[in-house]
Amino acid sequence: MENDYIVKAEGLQVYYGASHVLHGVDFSVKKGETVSLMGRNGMGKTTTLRSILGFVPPKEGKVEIFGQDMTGARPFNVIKRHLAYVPEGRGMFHNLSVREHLEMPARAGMDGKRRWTFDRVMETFPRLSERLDNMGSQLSGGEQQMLAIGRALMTNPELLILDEATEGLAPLIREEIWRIIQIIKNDGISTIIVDKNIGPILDMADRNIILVKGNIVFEGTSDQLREDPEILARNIGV
Amino acid sequence: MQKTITIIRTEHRRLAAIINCFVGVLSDMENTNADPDFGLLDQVHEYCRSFLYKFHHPKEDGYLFPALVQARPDLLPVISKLESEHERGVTLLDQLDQALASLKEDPRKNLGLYIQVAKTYRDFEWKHMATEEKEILPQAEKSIPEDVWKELDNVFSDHDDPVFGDKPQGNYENLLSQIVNRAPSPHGLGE
Repeated sequence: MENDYIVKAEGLQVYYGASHVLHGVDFSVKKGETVSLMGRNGMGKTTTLRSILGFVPPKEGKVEIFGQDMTGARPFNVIKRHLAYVPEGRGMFHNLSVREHLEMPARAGMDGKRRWTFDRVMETFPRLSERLDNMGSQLSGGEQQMLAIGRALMTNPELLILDEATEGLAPLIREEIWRIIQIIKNDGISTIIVDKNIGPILDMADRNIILVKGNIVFEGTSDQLREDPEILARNIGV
Repeated sequence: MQKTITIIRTEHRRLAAIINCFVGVLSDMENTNADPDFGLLDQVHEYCRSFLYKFHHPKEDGYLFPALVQARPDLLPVISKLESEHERGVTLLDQLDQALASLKEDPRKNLGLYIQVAKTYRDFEWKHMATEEKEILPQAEKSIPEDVWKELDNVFSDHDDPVFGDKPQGNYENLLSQIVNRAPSPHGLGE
């Protein structure tokens, strides 16, 4: 059913100047779905996300969010449609405290409910409760990542987009992030995950998309990828 | 089938991450002459002993290994070795506990010994998990019949089986989270 889709992007042709980066990419996420986006560095994963979110408007193609045409819309208008983005690099405001990072974006979800409250974020990310008065720039990489996810959850999104959320973090911190992503998934929040750690991502994803040089070369289930490891070996090198 | 395999791999991965963090923290302690965080060390010991030996290994020993031996009797020698390694792991943990007790008595004198015992335990567990993942799980996927996998999936997915304690899965996830939040940066989220 069409109204099952949160994001439906079709035929995205995206350029950076003269460089043709996405070649007719179709990308969709249904309500309650976890979709992984995989590919080597520079294959167009982040560009796909940024094109959907309005940071990089497509030259051709269409982006619908909850059935409404948002092609080329400004990012703040796209995000207002109950999407939350945790970018690669985390996007901390160095002159805001942890408390301010969390309180500023807080809002109710699409159904008017606040499933993710300040207290719930404190309970899920206890380290943040000890750092409330510290500025974003004073946090370690792992703490910043927790704050970035917590901040996104305070908006009570329908769709959470995580771009390399575990990049550069110690194995144990990565495990904690994946544990939290599973909680988010169990809460019914749809997610798009970009991550290089294939094992945990296959365990969580309902559907997986592989990009090579701006083209989708695979779209399917985790079981399909496990049954034919050559697909990942050939396209991602794992 | 996939549920059981996924659960085993996730549990292995988490344990490996905790042990990796543990040895990393100890190495930093040695290099910086920092005081040991005994609360953190107690939590790591608790996770290894309780999670592995009261939760994870009983499911392997009681359900997965017998199912695999039934399907593939030729794997009995490998399985028997893994089962005896489960017992050996208890001995190594006992040695680790003793080394921790010595560390608490005299941190300066006994840190080197504790680190040595910790690394021995780490190397042992990593080799054991590697054998299970590379030799046993692929054979299990190919050989155990589908109807048996359904039963195994039920056992491995029953995270709240009271046989393993009161809400065991939740308890272990809480303990993992406590360790992450306490372990010092960059290994965890602590100071």
